[in-house]
Amino acid sequence: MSADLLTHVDDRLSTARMSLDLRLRIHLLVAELLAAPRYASRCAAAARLAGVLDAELLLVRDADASDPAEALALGVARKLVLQRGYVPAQELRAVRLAGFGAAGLLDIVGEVSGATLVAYSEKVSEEGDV
Amino acid sequence: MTWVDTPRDELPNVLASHSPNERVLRAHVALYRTIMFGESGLTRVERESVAVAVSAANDCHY
Repeated sequence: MSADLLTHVDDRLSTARMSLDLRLRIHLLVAELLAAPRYASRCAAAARLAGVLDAELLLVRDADASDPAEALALGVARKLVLQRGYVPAQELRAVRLAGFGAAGLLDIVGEVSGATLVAYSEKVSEEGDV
Repeated sequence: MTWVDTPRDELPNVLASHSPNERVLRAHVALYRTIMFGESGLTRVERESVAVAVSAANDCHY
């Protein structure tokens, strides 16, 4: 069995689940990248309630985290936003191998999508037509 | 995934790519169905036109 196939099987069997505080930090990152200040404030408040320290929240602005695996996840989230979904294969692979697996990678895509929807809605509603 | 209705028993790649994460797949399909087929002031043609414009802007060939 090749190493690639083993990696593939490991991905499929991954039971890793993304923590709530990382999900909130992804939403905060997307809100800041898309300049949605109200949503960013809510994400930061929710993250604090979830136990995220201020120092960790500050790292989010640079798509960084004290945990290397989480920093990789935030880096992919940033590229999903800024590069319209295009993330180098090497970085996607790094996130999978960091413990997120294919399922966790799709979680990141899902969180970015959800946060983008909220951020866009906030910006449109600010114009007063919604 | 029998709950995913697909014409001619074909599963689009964009959905198949979600197979490692059923939760995200279900959310994706629910959002798509709501936006494209739910009640709206936009017609079906207008919705598809928006989708085409966004896909083109994002260089998404699907």
